[in-house]
Amino acid sequence: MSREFVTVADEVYMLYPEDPGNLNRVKDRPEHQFFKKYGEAMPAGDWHHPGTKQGIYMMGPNAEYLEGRFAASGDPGDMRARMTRALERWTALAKSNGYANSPVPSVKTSLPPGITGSLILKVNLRDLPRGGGDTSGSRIEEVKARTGQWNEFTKWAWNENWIGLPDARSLVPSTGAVENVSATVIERICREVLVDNVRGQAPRWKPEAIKEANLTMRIQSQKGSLTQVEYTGSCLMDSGANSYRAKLYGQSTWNSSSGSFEKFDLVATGMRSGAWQFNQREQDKGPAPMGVSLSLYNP
Amino acid sequence: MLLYLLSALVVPQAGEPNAENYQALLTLIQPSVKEAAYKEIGWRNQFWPGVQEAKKLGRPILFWTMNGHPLGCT
Repeated sequence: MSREFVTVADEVYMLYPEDPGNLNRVKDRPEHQFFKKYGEAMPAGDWHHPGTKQGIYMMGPNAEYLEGRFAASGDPGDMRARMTRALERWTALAKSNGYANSPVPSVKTSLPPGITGSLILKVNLRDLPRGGGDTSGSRIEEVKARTGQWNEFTKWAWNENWIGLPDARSLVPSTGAVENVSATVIERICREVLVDNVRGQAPRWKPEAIKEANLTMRIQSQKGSLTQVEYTGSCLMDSGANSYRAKLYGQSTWNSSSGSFEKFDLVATGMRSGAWQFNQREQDKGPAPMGVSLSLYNP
Repeated sequence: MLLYLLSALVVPQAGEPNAENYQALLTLIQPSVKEAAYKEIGWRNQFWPGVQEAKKLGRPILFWTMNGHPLGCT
């Protein structure tokens, strides 16, 4: 697929907003005009208008319609067929329009925009087992019954996020004693990534929702330039309608020669409750266990 | 299988990671190879620069889009 298409993943909301106010703000932007031109050439039903434009779309370099569908993620077979049709249409279009059809260079997946800092951590979130035959947290390959609906992903409920911290050394003790990780760092972790977006979007916690945010670190051992560090902590975020109370544990290896981590893992587990507008928890408000891991990103 | 093995480990306390279990919890929480298969595709992370690249190459675009960035910054 990467050899045939220029593959792009991006946020849709400010490309084609659903609400009139934001739509008016972007209506003259070239990227909005491009996407709108493509969408208006799509068959009715595949282009969702008015409404969300979340989906998977195939288009020529001048917004020509090739294939695509909004809310497309639930039916891999349908998407495979659409991609095949898109390439058939592309073959004809490239010939008729004289497109160069130059080889698509191989690229590495980029970080989402805005994720910067000397310590980039990849965040994973998953529902944890609840016992009694409950299958929360199942992996995608363990889910056999498929409906083809857009919300199929709620059956496996894993998600990914990122956080970039400005100073990796803020997670390295400077003495042999137990030290507190700065409030700035642990509160950022709590606010931005200890949120329930296992099934979709949840906003970061407001500052007043952070009721407890503690993370300590201590040196476990040192050998040459390598320092083993252990982390323990606890957090409570509570907005009234939503909460997450978690315990944290982690370990890292700091290389003082390179001034960087060779390994960093931090795990948070605990009970979450409530539902946000877009995180698919209306029928599953808990309390129920949720786990979050933060691990070193190695590009 | 891993899920069921870890049930006994996780459910009773639902929130007590420690030196003994945190590696198992990492394995449980992090994606399997199949879950992470979409990363085999090299995704560009912004639409409009991707369009410019497609114009330059004379190539089609495959665009995956969501409310919240699909590569994980929701």
